[in-house]
Amino acid sequence: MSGPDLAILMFFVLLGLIVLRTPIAIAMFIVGAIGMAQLTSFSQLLIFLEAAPVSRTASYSLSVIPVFLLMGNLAMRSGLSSVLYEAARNWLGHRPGGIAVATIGGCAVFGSICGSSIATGATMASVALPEMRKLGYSGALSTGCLAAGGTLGILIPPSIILVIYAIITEQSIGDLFLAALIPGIIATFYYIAAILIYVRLKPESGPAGKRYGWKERFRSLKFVWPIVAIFIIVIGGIYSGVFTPTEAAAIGAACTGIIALSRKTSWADFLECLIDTAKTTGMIFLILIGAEIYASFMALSELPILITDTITQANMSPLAVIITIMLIYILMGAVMDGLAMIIITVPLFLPVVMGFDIGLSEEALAIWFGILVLSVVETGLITPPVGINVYVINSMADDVTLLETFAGVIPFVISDFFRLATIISFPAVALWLPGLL
Amino acid sequence: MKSSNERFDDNRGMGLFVRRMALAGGFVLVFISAITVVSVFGRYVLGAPITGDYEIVEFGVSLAVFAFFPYTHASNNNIVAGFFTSGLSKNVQNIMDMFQNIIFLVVVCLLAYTAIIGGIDKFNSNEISMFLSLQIWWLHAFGVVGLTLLGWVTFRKIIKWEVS
Repeated sequence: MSGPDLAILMFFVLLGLIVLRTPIAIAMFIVGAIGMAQLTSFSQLLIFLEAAPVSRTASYSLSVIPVFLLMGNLAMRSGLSSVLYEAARNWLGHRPGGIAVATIGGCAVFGSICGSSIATGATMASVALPEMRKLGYSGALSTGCLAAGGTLGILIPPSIILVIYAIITEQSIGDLFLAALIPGIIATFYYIAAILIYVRLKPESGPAGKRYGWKERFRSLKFVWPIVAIFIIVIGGIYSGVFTPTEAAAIGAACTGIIALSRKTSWADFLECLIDTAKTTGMIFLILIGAEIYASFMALSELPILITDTITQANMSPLAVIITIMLIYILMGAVMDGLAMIIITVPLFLPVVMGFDIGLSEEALAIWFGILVLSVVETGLITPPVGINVYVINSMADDVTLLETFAGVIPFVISDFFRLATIISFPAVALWLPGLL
Repeated sequence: MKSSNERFDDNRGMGLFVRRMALAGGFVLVFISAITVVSVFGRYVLGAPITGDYEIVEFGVSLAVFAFFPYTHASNNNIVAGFFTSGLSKNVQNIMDMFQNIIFLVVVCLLAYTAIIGGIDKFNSNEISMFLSLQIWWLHAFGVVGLTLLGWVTFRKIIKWEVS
């Protein structure tokens, strides 16, 4: 059997294993190991396994992942979400739908120091949800805006998904972070627009809240500035090359830790923060170990080259190709985890995208594609049937049915499609800041 | 019928042990973050970073990650796409999960075995890190310990499973 044939067969085996409840890391490992043993020999595979998994865990470039997770979890456990939420509410809450808009704003700022979406949504929900319900916000709008707002956690840098994309595609983390910034801001404004349209159509779902005076508004900004400062140090430091990503993450974690201390975060909370970091880090690194052998097999099989050649010969326009890939991602993202989806498919699709002749360098194409992938992964977090954010937020609202929450995210899913269309039509929104045009 | 994927109790026995191990790994992570901050401070303010800070980070992260693996699995945090089988009965799902844990155990054993072989190789060739002369085989030793415990957690999951 030729390399590409074997790879196609093994790809279906991989999907089969995933459907049969194999942990995704293990499924990738099995498929990669069998494929590699077929293409080389069993003894070659053993030699590969002697060093690869261990050195994968002891990699400086990957060390940024647990440190960013630590930073995000510190931010979550220190109750920063409540001060961010209060600040946003004091400024915006008195308009119709204002508390929902404030929630989105709070999520966006929180997302600038937290790279995970479930954490962002859940921590914001703990403060915003009770208040929205008390004010008479509908279950659909209050849970919908939290589920969607949480996704800003991964779109706005730092973003764990982007770090992993950067590592598997060997692109610059700093460039990707900067590239995600404007799309993140666009996403925030599209979400706000979605809320404003929604409350115009259904005014009873989001009544206006209390109006706060200017003194209270400015006083509530006290904890917002440090977060903005951390964000600028971390992102600016990585991009300018002053810090390595790991160093920036460590400095960010230290600053967040100082804020947590000043807010009298308890020892028990600190331990929980370490445990949360442990769970997610263990999960990601097991996937990365499986992914390494899977990606080595895919490269060895030459399937990616075959796919690229086929698409080039079919003379499809780049736009048609990218829309096809995005549709595949939206479908996959609806039923499986975004991280796994990226690791399984990017080695196949990226070479195709990098072959586009649309006046952009290969590097720029890789960065642009990364932002597109990130954007669809984000949508996958709130689309049925799997939409993990919807389940997490819904589980926090006792009196809201799951159906209401899924109905509540519809306006946000629509605005996600507008955002995706914007990034596809204007690659400049991603590429202008890192200077890749 | 008892699921093989029931969460371990964090407060006693094996569950408590792997939780403490994960916490220890968490402290290692805090330590390497602190070293990194000190080293950056040294580089820009004092003109002298900590020698081999990258190596400390690499060894620390490796140690931490292997300390996390058993807890991640004990608390069911490894990603499984449960959507496709969510329509099946709980019994069928449990049987599938039991088989998945057997596969998991086989993979973990293979990883531990190759890590041992690789470690012996590094030990014999006396491979060391560039700045601090740290022994590379230590990484394999961390790995084998972490993977062995991960295997033990998986084994416990398999034997916990029972048909009613």
